[in-house]
Amino acid sequence: MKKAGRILALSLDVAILCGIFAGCKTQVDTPKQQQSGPSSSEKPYQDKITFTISAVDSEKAGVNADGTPAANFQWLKNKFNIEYEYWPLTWSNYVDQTRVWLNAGSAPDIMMLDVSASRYNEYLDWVKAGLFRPYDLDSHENLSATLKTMPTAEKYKVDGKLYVWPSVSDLAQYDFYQPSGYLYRKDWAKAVGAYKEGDVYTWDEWWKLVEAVIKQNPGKNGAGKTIGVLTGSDWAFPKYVTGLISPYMVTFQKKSDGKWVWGPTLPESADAVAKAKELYDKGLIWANQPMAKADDAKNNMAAGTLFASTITNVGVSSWLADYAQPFEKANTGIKAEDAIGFAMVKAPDGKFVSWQGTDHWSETAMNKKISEKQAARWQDILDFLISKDGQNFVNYGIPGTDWEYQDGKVVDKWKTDASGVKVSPVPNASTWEWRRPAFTNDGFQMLNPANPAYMRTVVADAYKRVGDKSQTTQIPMDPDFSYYTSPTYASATTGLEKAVYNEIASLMTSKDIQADWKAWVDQKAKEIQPAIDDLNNNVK
Amino acid sequence: MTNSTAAPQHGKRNVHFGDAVILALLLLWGLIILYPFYNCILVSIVPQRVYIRQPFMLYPPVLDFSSYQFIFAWKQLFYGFRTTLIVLFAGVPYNLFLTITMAYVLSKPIPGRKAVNFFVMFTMFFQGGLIPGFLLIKNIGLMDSYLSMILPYGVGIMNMMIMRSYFRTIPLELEEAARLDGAGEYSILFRIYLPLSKPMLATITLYYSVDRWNEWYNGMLYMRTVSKWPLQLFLRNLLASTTSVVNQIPDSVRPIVFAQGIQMAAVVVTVVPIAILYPFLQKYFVKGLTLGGMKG
Amino acid sequence: MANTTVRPKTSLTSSRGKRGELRREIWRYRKLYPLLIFGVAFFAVFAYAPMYGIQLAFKTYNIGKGITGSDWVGFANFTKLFARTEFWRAFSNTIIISLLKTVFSFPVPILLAILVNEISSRSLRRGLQIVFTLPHFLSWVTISGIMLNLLTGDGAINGIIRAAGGHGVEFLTNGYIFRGLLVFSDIWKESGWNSIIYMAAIAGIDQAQYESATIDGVNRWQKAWYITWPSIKGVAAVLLLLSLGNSMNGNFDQVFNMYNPTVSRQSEIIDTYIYNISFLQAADYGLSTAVGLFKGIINAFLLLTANIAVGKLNPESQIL
Repeated sequence: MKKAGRILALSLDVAILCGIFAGCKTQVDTPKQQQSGPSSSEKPYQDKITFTISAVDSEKAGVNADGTPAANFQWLKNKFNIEYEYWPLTWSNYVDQTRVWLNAGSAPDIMMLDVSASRYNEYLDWVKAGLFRPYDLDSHENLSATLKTMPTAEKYKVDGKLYVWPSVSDLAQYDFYQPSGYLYRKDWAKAVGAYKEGDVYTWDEWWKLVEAVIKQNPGKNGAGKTIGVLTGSDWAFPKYVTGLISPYMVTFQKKSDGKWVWGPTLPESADAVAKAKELYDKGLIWANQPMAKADDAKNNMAAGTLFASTITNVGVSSWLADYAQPFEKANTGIKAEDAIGFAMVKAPDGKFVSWQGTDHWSETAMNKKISEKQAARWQDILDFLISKDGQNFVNYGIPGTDWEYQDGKVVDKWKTDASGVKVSPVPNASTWEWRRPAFTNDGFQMLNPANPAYMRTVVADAYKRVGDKSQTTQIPMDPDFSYYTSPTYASATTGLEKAVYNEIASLMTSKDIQADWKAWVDQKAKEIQPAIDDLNNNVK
Repeated sequence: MTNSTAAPQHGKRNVHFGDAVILALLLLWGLIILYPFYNCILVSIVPQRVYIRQPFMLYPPVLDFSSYQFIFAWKQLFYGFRTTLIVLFAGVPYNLFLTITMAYVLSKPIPGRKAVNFFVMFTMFFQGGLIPGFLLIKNIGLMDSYLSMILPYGVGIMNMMIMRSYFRTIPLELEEAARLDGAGEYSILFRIYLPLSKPMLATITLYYSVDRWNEWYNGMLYMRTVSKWPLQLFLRNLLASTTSVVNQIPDSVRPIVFAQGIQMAAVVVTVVPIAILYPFLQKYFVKGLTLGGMKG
Repeated sequence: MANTTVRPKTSLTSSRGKRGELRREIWRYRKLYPLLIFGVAFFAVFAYAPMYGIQLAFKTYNIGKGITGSDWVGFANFTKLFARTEFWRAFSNTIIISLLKTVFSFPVPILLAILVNEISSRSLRRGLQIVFTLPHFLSWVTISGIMLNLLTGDGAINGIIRAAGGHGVEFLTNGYIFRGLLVFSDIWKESGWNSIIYMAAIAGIDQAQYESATIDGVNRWQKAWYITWPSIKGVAAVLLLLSLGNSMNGNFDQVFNMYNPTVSRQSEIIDTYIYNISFLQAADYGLSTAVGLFKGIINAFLLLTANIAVGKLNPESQIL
């Protein structure tokens, strides 16, 4: 019996395998395309073109959250007469996956890359190996005009040709400087009488405020149970708390005499670490900060046990989704608008500090093997998306239906939901279709009608402040430095930034911080001296 | 064959005290094991505001199934189930076949077995790497095929070694007696060795089944079609998109989700089918399958 | 089945020996060789065919030239690695933590299996079996969240310790205690799952042996030692050797999710170290292959040594 059963199982297995094998050989069916008229009146594109394209969240492509087909995507597909065939990527691994595809010689037509500064050399290798098709900007005026506004654009050009389109940020008007600060319980600040209207604090005012809140406990948590300041992610902690005093703490600085030095060797860095330790010892910084995980800040804020969460780059969307809404859910009856504010804190020298962010996020490459027609169509799509009309399409929705021009300004025609909040008709789609290949809409957060008005104003003010040199010490991003690498430099600096973060975090519990810090810095500085020499020789 | 499922009896007097102590220890350990898991289930069925106030609960004060709704809202979930089931039902027999044949042959004093042993064990320590593996699948033509998940995982060396070692413990007399009766090699394998190895077979079937159920990596590398993604890959991606990994994207519209709740719901969705499978395999852990009178 | 049969020892089990007898042995087992082909084919295709990739450990990978065309750099990848003190620290941590797990974590599944075996109620036995395996299905992300919550200086566990009159224990800030935590959490998560195989081995024991032992007046511990243990020691030996041969692989998921900067000096393992230096960087396939090769060599060495040691005690249990 057993034998018969086993043979049956085996033959079933073989049958299944055969069936699967046979079935798998057939082509993936692309869905039938409606050839009905597009929403735009013209139809200049006669041939339908299909792109294989890599994208994260591709299962969300073309559908709204409730599963109904998304009109936006259809509109774009009709306008350009295209179809996408997705190669799915996962959030946790999209860089490595793309890398494996490229290395194995089987990459899609259109690829989402994430080169940025850290993988720049790899990008150059790929270009040299002839994997990408250059962009033809002369015939696309929107693209070439935008490229001129990007500080890092030149870096992506090899021999004068551009091999990837960087998804440019729409924050050019603020020179891409990032506002940092704290999301804090302003109701508690008011309760202890140290609240400042406008949410701007000097260094001393701020830390006195934190101390008062912890002592007076307006949140009615147990004694000592209120957390002062917390950072949800390990990289933000040293950068923001100590970064105000020593902005170059984790990186290299070119001094006025043109020489490069390593941040931790600067006297202000020792000062910053000592100050951080003072705050930590006083209990103003969370005792468990070295062990903090990503969600700790939001969870504690919503639970009412946290006073302030460090935010290195304030954004309306994360404010809303991570802080305001969970808070309101957990504390019925309190409005987030009244309880949570965004504080900007000046450095001890009286000015804000702001680091310039990158002017783009991620890049799109065209596979060398695509046809002329495909390349032309793709660039047309990008060119449209980056134009004014295109940006409005990405941000507001379908022209005519979701928005229109009135006196030259954009007016939305969005519907409002039961609580009077406007609902965006733009579905949260896959990463690539139309939403991000051309540009990233960081700036739109301040215009988005679905965002609470107070948040939009506060964030816009914050951007204005850091864009103003007289109020802010601006730390610019130097493309020559950011994108520089060499074998010496790379081998000396691998894991260096993280090592600095880790060292600062672990020094919070040291007994003699000045000595420990100095000892570590001296030893590390010796190790990385080759990198500094390299910089001095090559990056002027 | 005496087939008893009773625990060993030890004589009367000390039994009760010893039994009680052992029972107490095991129950205590069971509680330490069970409570966190129980808490995870609770987290998956309460709303976010409850979890925030009280991460550790004894009972759910309010019920809220939105974490499950979130997961089940995606059609992709069912495709994931389908793929994983295909891989499971094709893969486990494939695994068992390769493992049993190898283990059986290597358990005999057959010439060349040391060489084969070495051949197998060498692969435990040295692998070719990601890109050669990818190229292999691509060149065989298995890209985007279920076979790309089924075939590369053929033999779990640990499982094979255990079966081999177990086969060795089966008395040779049985085999010799069967040969005298005129049984052939394969008949001996099927009629003698396999039936006597039921508990071990059940164990490695369980191990392979759980491995297949949890498999996601090859699916991520080789499946181009999202509807062919295995269940675990889909769940992993879903979780990643709800957590701070997505902080990498510039400020875009973020859905408001209760990350821990969804995480726990994903765990429950993964574990429940295995928990259902379990009792069916447990009956093979029946003790005391003996050969009684056959021992010479 | 009690292991009472001695395998006939013939010198022809090795390939050296008189030619004629060798041929006879091969003929005797001729029907078994075809069965072996399937497994061998599997390894040949999926394990050996890609093995040419190992040469990358001695090369600098260039995508334009591919694996075979990239330039040889000799041991440069290795010297790059060995020059860093952090690497050696990670190496020693890996060994120490694996050793701790072998000593403390390895015996627990065996104990569990033996103890559960003593329970008389069948349904209770089954219930416990299932319960013990549940943590295996939780990911380290989840478990670390739980542990971090409970074990901080102001967490619940320290609260209990203080209430009982003790001092708070620095589970998460003292590197050495943290190593203990790694071992304990490993036990917590996997001992139930790993005990299944021992329970299966015990299930195969002839009940008659227990019965006759009882009649002879043997107590339970003696029974465990003389009856239960011999039947599972074969499996235990295999698993022990395999686990030693896996020592260099640490447990990336566990350490990565659980550790923090204050304990990293004592708990950084090779895999997390490599992750940290490659994070956000371009892939250095030469380096990662070199690391893999290094780990493989050490693992093989550990296994071989242990195998020889086991061979002195009990040749039957050898793996190679």
